[in-house]
This record gives sequence, C-alpha cells and structure tokens, in this order.
Amino acid sequence: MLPARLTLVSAEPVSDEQLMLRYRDGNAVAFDELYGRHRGGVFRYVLRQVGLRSAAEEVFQEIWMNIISSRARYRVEARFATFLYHVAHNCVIDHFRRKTPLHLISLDDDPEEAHQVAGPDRDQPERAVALRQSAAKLLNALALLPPEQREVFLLHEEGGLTLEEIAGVTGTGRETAKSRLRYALARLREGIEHEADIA
Amino acid sequence: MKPTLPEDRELEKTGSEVSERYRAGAQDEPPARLDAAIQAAARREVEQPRQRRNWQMPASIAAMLVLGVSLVLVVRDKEPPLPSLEQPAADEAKLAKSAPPQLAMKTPPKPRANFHREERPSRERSARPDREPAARDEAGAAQEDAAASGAVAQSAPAPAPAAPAAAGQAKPAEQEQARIAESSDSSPNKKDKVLADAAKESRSGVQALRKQEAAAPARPREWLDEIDGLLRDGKEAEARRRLLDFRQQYPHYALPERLQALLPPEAAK
Repeated sequence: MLPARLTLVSAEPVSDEQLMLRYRDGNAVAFDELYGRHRGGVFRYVLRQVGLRSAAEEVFQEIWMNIISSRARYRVEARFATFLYHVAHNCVIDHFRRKTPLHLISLDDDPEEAHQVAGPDRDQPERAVALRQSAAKLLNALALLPPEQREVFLLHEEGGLTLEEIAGVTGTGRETAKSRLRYALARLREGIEHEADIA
Repeated sequence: MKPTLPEDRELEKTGSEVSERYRAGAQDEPPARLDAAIQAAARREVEQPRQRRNWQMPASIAAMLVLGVSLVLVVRDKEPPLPSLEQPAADEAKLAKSAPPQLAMKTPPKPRANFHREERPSRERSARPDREPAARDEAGAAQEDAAASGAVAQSAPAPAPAAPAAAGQAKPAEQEQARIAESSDSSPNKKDKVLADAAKESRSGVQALRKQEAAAPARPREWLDEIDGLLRDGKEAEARRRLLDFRQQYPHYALPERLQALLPPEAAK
C-alpha cells in the first residue's frame, strides 16, 4: 500500500479526472493519489490476462509510464478509468503481439505461482484457506475463458467500467460487450459449480 | 455499473455472486519496488522542465519554411520570363524580316494577353491605313462574306496570300527599323514613341497573319475540296491560282487527275 503521507487530505473526494488534471499541472502528489486508487485493479487486470507475474509487472509499468508521458496532453473527455483501461488494453495487446503465445497459469501445476496469484494469507487461517480455494477455482475458470470474455469480465470487475465504456475500450459495440460479459459470468459460475461437484 | 434495462439488471444479479467470489480472492497487487519506480518516474516528469519537447514546434516551423521557400524558388526558376512590352514586337519584326513567309506563318509568336489588341485605340488603325497589311483587309472581308453566306469553303483564304502578307508585314517593320535608326540621335521620348509604334505595327501584322492562318484550310484535303468548289462555281482562274498555292505548299501531294490538268506541266509532275 501507499505510504500515508502520499494520500491527499481533502474534505471532499477528488475525482480521478481532477487528480489527473492536477498532475498535468505539475502536482506530483495528485498522481500518487490517483495511482493508489487504481494500482491494484490495473495490476490484476493485467495479471489475469498475461498470466506470469513478471510479465504482468512489465506491462503494468508500461501502462503507467504511458499515463505519465501523456499527462501534458490529457483532456477530460471521458472518465479517467476509461482512459486508463484503454491504455492498459493496448499495452496488453502489445504484449501479446511481442510474446505469443499466451501463457495461462495453471494453479495446480505451479504452487508458487498459484500462491502469487491467489493473494496473501489472511489473518484467520481457515477463512483464508476457504477464500483462497474459492478464488482459486474462480481464477481457474477465468483462465479458461476465451480472452475476449475474460477481458470484458476484468474490465467490469477491476475497472468498474460500464458496458458502454467496455465497448469503447475494446472497440466493440455495447451489445457485443454485454454478450461477452453474460457468457463470461455464466461460464465462471459453471466453473465454480463444476469444481464444487468434483470436490 | 448501473443497469437500466431489465436484462441488464438480471446480468448484474447473475454477476454479483461471481463478483463476490472473485473479489474475495482478488488481492494481488504490484510490488512496492514497482510502486516506488512508477511514482519516482511521475515526479521526474513533473520536475523536469519541458525543454525536451520544445524543439518540435520550432523544428517543424523551420522545416515548413525551408520547404516553402525552396518550392517558390523551383517554381520561379521554371517559369518562362514575362515578355516586356517592346521585346515581343521587336522579335516579331525580326521574324517577319528574316524568316521566309511560310515559316513565319508556321511559327507564330507566343500568344499574348488580349489586352494588347483591345487596348489599341481604333483611331490608330484608321489613322495609318497605308501601314495596314492588305491581307488583313482581305481576310476580314473573306470572313465577313463567310459569315454572311454561311459557306465555309469560300470564307477561307489560301495560305498563299499569307506570303505577300508576311512580306507586307516585313516592309513596315523594315521601315520602322530604319526610322528607329534615323531617330537614334533624337530625343529619348521620341525614340520611345517610335519604338512603341513599331511594336504596335508589328503586332497588328502578326495578328493579321494569325487570322489568315486560322482561316486557311488546315488540311490538304479541305484545301482541294475548296478548289473543287471554285471549279464548280466556274472560277477556274481562281481555282488555278489556289492550286498553284497548294502545290507550292505541298509539292509532293498526289493530286487528282482533274486538278493536275489545271496545273502547268512543270508544276503538275
């Protein structure tokens, strides 16, 4: 997490767009606040698609460098999250173009990677184990989704984007995005139930 | 996401269960060293002056200027020099004097703007009837006849009159040159006036030649048809004269027998 000194102290929550405008005007603290809000979501968005943590870190850094370098040209034309995930989408695509084929994480094959993806241990061991098992099942099902459906789900979950915004980021229509999200959710639920039946 | 349609709400409801499970395990975050690196880069970007991008605008302006100036220079070099008011007239006079009449007809001077013809006062033309080439009047009369009768064949004067016309044109030019030579020791104003007069005279002669050339048959076949027309009208002498002109213009053209009979034996071969 970010150090406490980096968070902005303000009575009213400042929007992402305002923070980015402040950063554009030279306020580096505003960037830190903005980064703190989105770092986890963007990282997971990348990690779930790229698979390997090292590759995800590389892409993640590239995304934020793009945001930093484009600060002078930034204009509020849409939500900042839409802009950010648009950049992330393009960086992930570039990554796949550079390094095909896609390497999907199998949580069963590599316990170390599975540990990395599933997240840190919780304070309560039993609950942590249950959550990890549930998340592992879901992540397994997520990894098996077609890339387009997986991306739509991640944009929805991690970016909090609307269907219209997802359509804008992925360059598709709203109905296509909705259809992909519906299929993704259905398959993920099936995957969870299937794992439960096997267990 | 705030669903507005029923199916969107259903989608949201379906997704909520999956979302809950997903979020329970979605704890992956970037390492602290990556956070530090990105935040340091963000600070460097803010602290650095924007000089490194400042070269782009001046460089592009300079490139555009260089391109524009070089284009202007290239275009200006390729453009032919504009003729001065008196230079073409002198050239035309020289051409009329030195070149044979037919050659002078075949290589008319570059067309100039119409204002030369339009600006010339009509009284000047009437004031010097002796210097107007006779061919000009003939051509004008012939064109008027043609316009009245509608007969194209009769309206076209032969190229042969162009020769005397050119000769007639050359004479005034010579006279003017002689006049210029005589008046070389006179006052500059007078000299300029003489030069301007000579230019106008030469121009009018060249224009008459152009008219004649335009009125003359463009092709031998048309010319011969015109001669046939004269024969049909009973103008045998005129037809013979035109045929001689034709033979002079096209010495190797194979004439029909009926026309060969009109020519003298030495010209018919």
